[in-house]
Amino acid sequence: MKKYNLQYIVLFFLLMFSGTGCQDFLKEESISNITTDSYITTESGYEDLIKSCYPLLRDFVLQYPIALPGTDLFQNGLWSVKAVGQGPALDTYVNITSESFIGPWDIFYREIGRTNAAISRADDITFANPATKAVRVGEAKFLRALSYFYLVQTWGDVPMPLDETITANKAVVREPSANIYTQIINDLTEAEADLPAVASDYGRVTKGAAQFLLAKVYLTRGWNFNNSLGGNPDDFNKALGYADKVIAAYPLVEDYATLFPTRSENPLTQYSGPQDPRNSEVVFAIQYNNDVLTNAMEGNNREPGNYYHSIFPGNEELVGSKGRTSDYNRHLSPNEPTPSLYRLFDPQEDSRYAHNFLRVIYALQPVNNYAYSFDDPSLTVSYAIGDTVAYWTPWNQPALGTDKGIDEGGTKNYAVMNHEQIISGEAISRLTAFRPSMWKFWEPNIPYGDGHGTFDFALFRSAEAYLLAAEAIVKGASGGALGGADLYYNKVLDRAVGENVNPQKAKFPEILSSLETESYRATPTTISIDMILDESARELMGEFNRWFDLKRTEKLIERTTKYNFWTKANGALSEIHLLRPIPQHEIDRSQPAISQNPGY
Amino acid sequence: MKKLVLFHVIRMTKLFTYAFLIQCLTMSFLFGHNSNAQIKKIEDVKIRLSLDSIQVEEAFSIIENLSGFSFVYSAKEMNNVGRVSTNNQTQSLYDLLKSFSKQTTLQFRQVNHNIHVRIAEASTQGAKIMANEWVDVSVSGTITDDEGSPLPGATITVQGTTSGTVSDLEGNYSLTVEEGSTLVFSYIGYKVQNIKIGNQSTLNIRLELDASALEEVVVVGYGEVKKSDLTGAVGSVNSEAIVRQNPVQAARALQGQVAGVNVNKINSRPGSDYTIDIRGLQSIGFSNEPLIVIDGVMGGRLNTLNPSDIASMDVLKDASSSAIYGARGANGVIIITTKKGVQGKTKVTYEGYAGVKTPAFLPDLMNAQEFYTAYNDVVLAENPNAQVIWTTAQLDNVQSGRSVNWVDQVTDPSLQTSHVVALSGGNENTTHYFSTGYLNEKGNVLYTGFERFNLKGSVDSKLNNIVKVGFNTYYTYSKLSTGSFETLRNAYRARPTGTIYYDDLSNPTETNDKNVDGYAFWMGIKDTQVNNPLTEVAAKNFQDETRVSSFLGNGYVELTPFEGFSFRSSLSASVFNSRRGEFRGADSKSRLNRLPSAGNDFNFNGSYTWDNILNYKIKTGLHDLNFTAVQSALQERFETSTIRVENLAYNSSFYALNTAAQINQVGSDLVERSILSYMGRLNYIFNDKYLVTLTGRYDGSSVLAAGNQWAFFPSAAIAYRIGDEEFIQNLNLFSDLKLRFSYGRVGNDVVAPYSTQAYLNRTAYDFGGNPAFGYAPRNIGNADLKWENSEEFNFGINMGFLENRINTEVELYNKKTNDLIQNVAIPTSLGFNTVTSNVGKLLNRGVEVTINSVNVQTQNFRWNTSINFSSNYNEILELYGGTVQEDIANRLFVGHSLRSNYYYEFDGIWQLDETEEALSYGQVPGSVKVVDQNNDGLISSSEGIDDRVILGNQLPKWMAGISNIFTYKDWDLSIFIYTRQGVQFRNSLLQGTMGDLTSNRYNRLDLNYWTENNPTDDYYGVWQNNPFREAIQYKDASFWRISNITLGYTLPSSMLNAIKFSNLRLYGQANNVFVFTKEKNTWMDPEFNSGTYQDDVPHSIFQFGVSASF
Repeated sequence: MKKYNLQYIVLFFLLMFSGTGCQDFLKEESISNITTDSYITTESGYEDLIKSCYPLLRDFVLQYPIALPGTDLFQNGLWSVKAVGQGPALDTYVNITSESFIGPWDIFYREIGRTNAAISRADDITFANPATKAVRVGEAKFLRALSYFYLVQTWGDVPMPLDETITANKAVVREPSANIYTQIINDLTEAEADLPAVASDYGRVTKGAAQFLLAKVYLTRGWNFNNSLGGNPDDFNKALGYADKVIAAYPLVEDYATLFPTRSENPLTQYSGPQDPRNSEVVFAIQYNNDVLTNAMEGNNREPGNYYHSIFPGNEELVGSKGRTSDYNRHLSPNEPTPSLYRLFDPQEDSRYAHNFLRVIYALQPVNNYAYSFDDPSLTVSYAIGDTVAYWTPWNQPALGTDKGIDEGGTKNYAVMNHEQIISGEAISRLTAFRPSMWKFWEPNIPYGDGHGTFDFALFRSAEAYLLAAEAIVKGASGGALGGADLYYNKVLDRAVGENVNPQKAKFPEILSSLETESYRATPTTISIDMILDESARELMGEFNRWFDLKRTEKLIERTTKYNFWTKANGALSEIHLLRPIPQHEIDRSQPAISQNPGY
Repeated sequence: MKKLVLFHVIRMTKLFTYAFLIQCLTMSFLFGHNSNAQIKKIEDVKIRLSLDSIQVEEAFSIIENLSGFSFVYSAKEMNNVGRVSTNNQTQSLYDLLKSFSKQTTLQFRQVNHNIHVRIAEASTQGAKIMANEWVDVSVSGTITDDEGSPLPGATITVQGTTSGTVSDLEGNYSLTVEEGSTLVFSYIGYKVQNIKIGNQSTLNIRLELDASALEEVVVVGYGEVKKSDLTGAVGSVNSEAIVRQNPVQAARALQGQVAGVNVNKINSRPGSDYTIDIRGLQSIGFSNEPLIVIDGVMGGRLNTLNPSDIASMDVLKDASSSAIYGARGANGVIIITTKKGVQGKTKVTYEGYAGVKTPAFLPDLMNAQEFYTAYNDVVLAENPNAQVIWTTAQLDNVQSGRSVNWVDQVTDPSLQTSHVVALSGGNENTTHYFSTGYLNEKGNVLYTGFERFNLKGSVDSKLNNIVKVGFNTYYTYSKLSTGSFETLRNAYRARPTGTIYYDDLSNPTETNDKNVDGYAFWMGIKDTQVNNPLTEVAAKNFQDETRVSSFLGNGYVELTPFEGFSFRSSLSASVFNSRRGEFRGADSKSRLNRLPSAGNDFNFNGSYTWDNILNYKIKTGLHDLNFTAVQSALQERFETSTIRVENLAYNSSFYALNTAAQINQVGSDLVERSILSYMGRLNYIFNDKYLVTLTGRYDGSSVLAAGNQWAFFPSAAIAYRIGDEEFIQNLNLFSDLKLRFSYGRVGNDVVAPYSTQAYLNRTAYDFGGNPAFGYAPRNIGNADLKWENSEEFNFGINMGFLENRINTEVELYNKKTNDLIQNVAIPTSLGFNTVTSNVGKLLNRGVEVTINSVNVQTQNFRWNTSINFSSNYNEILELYGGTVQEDIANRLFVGHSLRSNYYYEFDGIWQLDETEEALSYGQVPGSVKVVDQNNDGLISSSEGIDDRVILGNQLPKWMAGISNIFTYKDWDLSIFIYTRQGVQFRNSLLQGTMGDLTSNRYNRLDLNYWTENNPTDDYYGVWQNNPFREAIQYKDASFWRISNITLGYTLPSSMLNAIKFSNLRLYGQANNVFVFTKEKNTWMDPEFNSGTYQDDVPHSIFQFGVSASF
């Protein structure tokens, strides 16, 4: 019986080793994924790598905590009279920790990682048309320079990897700011030489974009923050030169409103037609569209699309509203305009005031016998659809007496809010509406909530180039194509108020009870950095620039302490805050640990 | 003789599997026969054969074939009797045996067809062959178990001899013995009974269970061993302990049952899974889950099994035990053996229970009035200008004393029930087992629940003496409905000042409320972050449903061409299919006035394992060798596909995705991994006292870098049954004493496949509205990735006292892991967050103590206690090749345990009389104070002046399970206590909005918070800015839990016979009735740091059950 069974055994052994013994069994090959080394080898693979350098721009502008709050224009709206020692760290500059700065740090370096991969791999790729390849590399260089520019402005000396990361390395070195500026200017100069004036696809980087950024970079280096950027006075001339090139190539549009989504003040007659973000003034815009598959965000669980319609205060919860709908924007408190910001405008003459602030709220559903008084339940008011439920007076024309709302002894059966009330935060009745919506970027017909915006976000537009040029001239640059700084300045103003109009702003924006005014039309003698910053506030408010502009012009401490409620109350903003804290996780992860910026 | 072996056939009892294996492996082989055929005398049987100095057993075997007689002897006794020879002549069997007797010291006696053999006592040597010389009595009867069921295969021996027989399928036996001799009735797992034979002819015996003998055989992977022959550290749970608490998931049955095994809930939702780690964490950031082997199929999922289908769970803890599974066994192995059919009359069993699960141990939230007061602490005391949040509806509720407990609103006591019917039986060649089970566990959160259907079938068949085949299949279908992930969080957040029903709102327009099925959607509260939890919970507004269909199958052929040698080839396949569907209606929080969204995720996991196992056993003299060789190939694939859509035209759940206006996401993925292994194991036992196990496994893994794929993992273990030595026995202290020592190396490859290369991610963008999809580098490939490997020493002692009434097992182990694989956080300035690398060394060292004792045993009363205790010490020995001492980003500190909590140390609350000091730290009274460790006047986390310290650890310092079982006549009572000590968690509730007193938006825990008039250090004030709030969130999570109390009654056999049942037990039980923790009002369930998001509430379960067989 032993004998015949041996045959089985032999058979099984044979099966066992023949079936599985080969090395192929362990070979790892992913079908659903492709490796970098096997895909980025051809022209089309390389094109795809370049395309992947763009989407993070959408994440760039979501890092608004580094650009908007804690400035003279935006602050957190949750007031408290006990402002000392509390309040949002970004505005108080008390106990400011690196946590708020992890997002931007990671995003900029992710972008640098991609652009580095593109630049490092360029030599091994052959294009049918070598010029096309140069353009693509130029795009990557521009995007790398842009990332480094934000990094160096925010944190000063930062790590500067320039090659694709193939292996992990915990050794990190903070490169001196001056070297980073040199690198940025090299990248941009090379990009500017290779990039076309008009891109093959709308939305790609162009020569104009590189020139615009060069203007800004030179201008910043010219100011030479703490003498650490390696700047010199000639930088202002270069800034002016590049700004002039942009101004020449990108004419301003006639109407400020055409730069932004078209919409109606009254939701009952809301505009529902197509939107067109393209115009002559846009130099470089972050692209959005209405296809969810390409209007995507890379971050975890992020809603797709442009967020800017919903990051400023709204009024979704007033009486008669439909609640959480997009009719009156979403209310988020971190980026509320400072009380002074309204007072920089001439509400009657400056068309940008009406574009930026929504002043009337209408009932969108009927309201019956609404008890508006905190004390007397018998006092009620009713609204029909379309009735006004809240109205904010312009800062220079407060309502008095019978012009006030019924809750304040007036005759209007809705809340009438004067400017001082807007910022006091005190509720008079259940009608009280706090702040007018900041609806500059508001876009109709998109779902409620974060994101989903479809309108391009113009990162660079030529109106800003005029102001950069004006600033360069104020700082000593000469030879501007338009002449003096006031001429550049007034060019921007003219569009908003019309030529020969003298718009009036509050003379003391920080003193809310003061109705004293002064003109903000520039003359060769009045033009100043502060005037330019005021105009930049009116023209560019919310456009991801303010903190950097204030830092560059050495006005952050002065203007923010003057205009920002929280900063003023705490008096804590000082020189150390001109550099943001390096994210703790970068310090923790680097071996040896890199240094933190002083004061944190 | 071989045929007679088959009469070890027995019917199903709970202990059958053990019994059979033990009989085969450990007992003196006893072969009996009760046939009454014509009996020849040995003198009349002529035989011609030639033997040249062969072992007596071999000689017996040859004679059996020639003569038809069977020899009955103790295999153990034959070890040292020497060899026999005979020349080639015809002689009577009588003469032949006489000759044998002279050559050895054996004496023979014919009893019917049997020839009984034993070693002659010195005085009787010479007169060695006897045949039916005594006054014999014929005795017969039936042997039954404690429940009255017949016991087939029980052995009956005559005391002082090796003669005897075994009972047949009906438990009947008969034999002829000398008058006045004593019969010994034994059956493994039952107490031995001795009965002296007078002139009775009928003797019915009822054997009593011997609880101490229950865990005698241990499954060790590709084989089984007697517990007494174990050389490694293995813990076992038998089927009774598994079903005692009626767990929904088998994993729960392990909790507190095996020392060194840490079983944790993941959440409180119905049907939810558990995490298991054995002997501490070995891996950072990757799975610490042990390998689950279900009936030989590797990589099974515990929660697809019905616990009552499980016969035993054996946990291989030390490296020498788990080395047999090589790389897969690095985190320990749990071997599940499901129930198998046993020969005999078909037996049907039913087990069922039903009960209620009631929410328990919930933290207190503020009621409407307390919430109002807390809010006014801000409004009136601190900030008269703060925005008023009260609507008339809310004020009305507050003033009229109304308050809504929203958690109470969305939860209810719920039903839990399970029914299992099993059928087993077979004949001498083929056995079968079939079972079907149904379980329904409703969640406490409304509309949630878990239902599971199980079908099991197995057949084993012996085709002839050489070939055995069998298969085992297990099918599971389950449905899990969890509803909205927001429900519970909404209920915890919603203000108690809200209003439930729309009609109760005096002025709905104030809050723009809407009527959704009668409920006030915004609850009369002017805040649109939280909607009414009762609308969110409704199934029509939100569905999240997972259906699983899983199959596990295994077929084998086993050849036993000659005694001691077997070859088994086994092919196993497992398929796990799941579909998760999610539907969010227009009235759910995440849609809010938008049309519904929906999505589906499909998972298809398949794997196959082909094992070829060769086993050879040989026993000569004092040497007992057992050699096993295995060749194994495993391939797994994980396929997923997913789709998400929104704006469905109508409420079609997730069944009409095609009707959506918009597709948001479409994706599919495939991940494959494979392992190829060659393994050998040698067990050697010398003189039943010295035991050695050597194991070696050579593994190749697909997920590691080329060149590093293969590794060899050796292990060795020795054991010394020192208790058998005379000098120990003379101490009269130990009834059993065994020392064990083992060493082993195991490897681990639990990294995500495809970590060795850099892959691309697709990105989406547009250029002027035209799609611009790109591909961006996704990760850093690590071309050096190699095996993580561990070296483990284990020292164990088994001690028995007082005739094993007290059994103690102590294990000490020391396990060092090298080349730890981790997703290491790297500086993000590199453009990436992590890289998978081999980065360090880790130590796990611990002690495990298991004590089983019979405290009291009288005629009617018995009290057993089992205690298991374990403590594990974990330490990081080295990071990144010794270059750094701490990696704060990853919370890794050399010299400290994994999962350390690292933050500023809580030092109370700043009080009014400390205002100035507080201000110097930028703080105000009422806010959280932390320790300025270096007294530099600055709270900083910067290098060099870091004030953060290690606060505690998320891993338990020790844990224990204590069972007490009392039986009194037909009643039994068991109490199980479980504890875990020394755990610190960053409390989820305090982290969430429930613990954030600075926001007035949501309801919070009813905590003792600071005010100017209540200068407590318990919790910070309601309005202060608290940059170090996190410090207050680290809380001790140690707990004691009375996990289970069961009271049962077994019907006596007299009543059973009347109703034709063979067994019927009724019981009532309470699970999780008491929990004791240090911290008050901060835990939902300290076992897993539960939060409120995507969870259910903790609960107690009260149920009533029946188990019956007939």
